[in-house]
Amino acid sequence: MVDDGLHNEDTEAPVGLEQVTTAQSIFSDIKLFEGLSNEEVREMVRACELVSFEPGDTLFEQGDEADALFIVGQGELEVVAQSTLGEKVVLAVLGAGTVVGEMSLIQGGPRSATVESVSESEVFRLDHDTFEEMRKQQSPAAYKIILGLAATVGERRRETDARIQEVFSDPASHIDSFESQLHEMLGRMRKS
Amino acid sequence: MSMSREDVEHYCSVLEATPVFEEFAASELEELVEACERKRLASREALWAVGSAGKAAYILIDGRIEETRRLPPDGQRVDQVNQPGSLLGLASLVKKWDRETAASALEQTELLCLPRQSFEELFERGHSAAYRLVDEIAGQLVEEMRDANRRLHEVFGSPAETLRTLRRRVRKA
Repeated sequence: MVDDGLHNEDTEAPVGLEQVTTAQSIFSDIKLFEGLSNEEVREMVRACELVSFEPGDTLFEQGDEADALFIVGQGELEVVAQSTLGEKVVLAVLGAGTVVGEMSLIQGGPRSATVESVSESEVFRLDHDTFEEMRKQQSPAAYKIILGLAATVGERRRETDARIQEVFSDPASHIDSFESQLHEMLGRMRKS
Repeated sequence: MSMSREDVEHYCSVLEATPVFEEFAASELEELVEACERKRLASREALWAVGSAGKAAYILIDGRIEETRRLPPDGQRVDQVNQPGSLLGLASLVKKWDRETAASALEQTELLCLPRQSFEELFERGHSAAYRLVDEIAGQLVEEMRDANRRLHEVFGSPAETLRTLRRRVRKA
């Protein structure tokens, strides 16, 4: 086992049993943990730490090393990225029970977007190193998660290839869309 | 094709000297081999075809396999595998995806076939060989995803270049 319980980073105080129970019910509804037994879900809850954020706080920034997965316990987060012209683009709004940065468990590399808190939020943080330790100990829960992530990565890769293939297999029907993208981009460049 | 005790010992001795399996304990390796079926291919014989249902992964024992992968839009990658212990078609252990590659023998070839069901049984039992295969699978799939993202970025991140390519294609058609 990697940790005795949940800790709030701000206060360093252990989180109460009630919050552990709440966390377990949130985790049980998450697709990433769907193959896990109740005991394995508890193991994952215990491996997390609970972190509180104020509105405007940043969980991580685009380009940061991906070193943890986050699960929203309560509150709302925004996933934002910067366009090539430096504009802030909101990619998604994440509510309770959503997972962000799950690929950090199996691959490092830079974060592709910034995540900010837009309200008072409580977020469960599963550190990459903690997960690696579970993997070294051959935790069945960790390996079920890796297998689930492998399935997700495999699906995404197939969808990505299909998207590229679609553009080139019917070029005439995609010319207009790429022309518009180019004009928009040139327009923004002129403005800036 | 069922295996005798001698076969199991022979395959274990081949695999224990290979990079992927060298850290396996003797008992782990034995259980893995016992979960496999033996497969022999003649030269030019197909191991699998594009579009066939992926139901198993393979471990090369002896011989040479050529795997051809189409890379959209027009690319192709051909890999030749000849190192004993090399793993082929690992993604089939995750899900019943259709094969996106074609694989065939370039000479007489011997492999071990690990059906997904046998892998799932090993995994459910918490067998460390299954966990090690999961590590390999995750590594391979992450690499494939990185390649796909790079291609995606080339296409959608450079609209001017993509537009030129599309226009050339329309003119050629």
